[in-house]
Amino acid sequence: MDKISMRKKEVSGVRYTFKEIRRHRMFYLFLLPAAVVCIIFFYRPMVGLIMAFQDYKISKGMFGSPIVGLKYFKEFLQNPFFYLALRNTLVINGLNIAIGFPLSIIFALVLNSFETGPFKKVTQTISYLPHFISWVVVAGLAYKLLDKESGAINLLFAAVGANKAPFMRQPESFWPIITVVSIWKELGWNTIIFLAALSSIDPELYEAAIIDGATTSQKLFYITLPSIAPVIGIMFIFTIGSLFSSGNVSFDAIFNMRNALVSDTANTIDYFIYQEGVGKNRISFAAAIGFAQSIVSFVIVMGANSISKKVRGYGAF
Amino acid sequence: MNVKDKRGSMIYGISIRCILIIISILMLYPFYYCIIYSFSNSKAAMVTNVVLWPAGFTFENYSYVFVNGMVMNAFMVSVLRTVAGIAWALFCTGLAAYAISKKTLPFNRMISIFFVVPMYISGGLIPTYVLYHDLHLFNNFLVYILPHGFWAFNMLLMRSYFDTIPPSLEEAAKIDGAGDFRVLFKIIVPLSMPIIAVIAMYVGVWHWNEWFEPLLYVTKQNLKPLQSILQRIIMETLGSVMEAQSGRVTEHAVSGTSIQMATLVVSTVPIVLIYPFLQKYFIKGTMLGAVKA
Repeated sequence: MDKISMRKKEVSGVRYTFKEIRRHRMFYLFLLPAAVVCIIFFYRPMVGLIMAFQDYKISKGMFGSPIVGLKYFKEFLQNPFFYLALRNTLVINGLNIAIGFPLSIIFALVLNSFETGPFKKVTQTISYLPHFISWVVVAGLAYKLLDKESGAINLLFAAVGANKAPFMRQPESFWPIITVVSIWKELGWNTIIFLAALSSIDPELYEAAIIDGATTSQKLFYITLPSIAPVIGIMFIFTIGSLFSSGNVSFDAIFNMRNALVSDTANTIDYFIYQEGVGKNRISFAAAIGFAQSIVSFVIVMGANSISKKVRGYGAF
Repeated sequence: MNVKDKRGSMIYGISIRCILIIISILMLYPFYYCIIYSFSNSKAAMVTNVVLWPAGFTFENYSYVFVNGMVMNAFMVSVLRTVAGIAWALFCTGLAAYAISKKTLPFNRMISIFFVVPMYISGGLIPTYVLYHDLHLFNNFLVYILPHGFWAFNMLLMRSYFDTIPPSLEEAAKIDGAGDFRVLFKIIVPLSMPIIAVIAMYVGVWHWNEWFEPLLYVTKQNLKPLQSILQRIIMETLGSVMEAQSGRVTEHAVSGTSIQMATLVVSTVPIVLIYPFLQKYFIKGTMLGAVKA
């Protein structure tokens, strides 16, 4: 094909695109509200992260505040409370992943082993319910149930002869409590994706295995688990990605469950950012921590993803 | 299958059933406890322990909650916020999802990427806080509504639903001379009621349960939603319970817990009431999302 005809084709392509845009002008109008919301409330704050490298003053704004480079990054890396928050974040998220993640798979397997019927349905309905309750309410319940004198847990402890303890007020009980309550809230809901994966396994595989005389555990290890392994892998990548932030045990959970007496074990990075940025008005300092946190999370997800791709041949992206 | 195998699987089945029943009880007990406590007479609850049934059955906690102007005002704020939030989200997200579902739309793929990126990257708390300050959204009811018009995940759910509507319906309407607006409201919307209901529920539950924005951006008491009032009551009772345990028992501290539990029930009942009807939609929506992702 010679050059002239190629150009002609390009021109007619551009013309065609313009014609198509004109024909779809109504649809661009439909996109407008969402695009405006997206730009103002999602993209604008991303640009605002520049304040992590500035000495940001609300009165001066983005263009009036002086640039200070990595000053606040150095500062938070020397702050002992940051390391306390980092430790708490890693421990709380780590406990939740180590216990909650396998439990939700086991619970999904157990639910899946039942034939569809009212018993299964009721159990599922009940186990999803706590997901829809706000953390404010859940924390209110937890405070009451764990109360030293009249809380049901302590009454149970007293009945079996153990000592009563003011659980919500001792720093050493915060980690176990937040782990148990978070799992209580999300266990049922987290099974949904695994149940979806389990229901898509071809039943003929099981029939063939039964004819070959496979035992229950053989079916589990040679059919069920390998079939849902990709889904487990993808979910694990996403879970690991929020190890430094609040994906597993949310900020809502920490904020509502903590109190001043347990702050040594309860303050996470997200809480630290809130406390410094909003509470003490140290905007650039808090923004720097938030920026570093997002970068680390992003690197972890990408790292986990590429490892998974290399080892097993599939990833989330 | 021999007799021993049969007995083995029966024992397995029964023990698993028992475990599931225990899990269900553990899941439900906190709610049950909250309800019986809210019906307990506050003084009786101090003397006898509330574990399985109310101590000194009474409605007085509820009458206190409903007479309390602050709680009722907050209830109205929550209802308004939820209704307005659902409407705004359906308007922005629904229209965008419909436009994106058009395969012939030029730059479709680029626009999709533009909308999906915020699912993975965000500016975080502090830049958002500063932005709301600069936009004068502090102490403004609109702070609850405006930023939550677009939900990337919900847009993907809606788009995949629109994809299932046969294009021949639209084409027929177009031939009859209907414009894009008419096609949307006379054909697409009536056919999409199931997905619209699901998205309305997702967004509604989120708005009803949200408590952090009023804490950050709103100081006016009459703009606080129910969750904020609840949070305050819990914190106050917590403080007074700590006082009571240190020996300074006050009448206020004693009555606090029962009223707190009644407020908890009032704030949770709307969700628990709609929950069984919507459960299957919620699950379908999430599974659809899982398949897409």
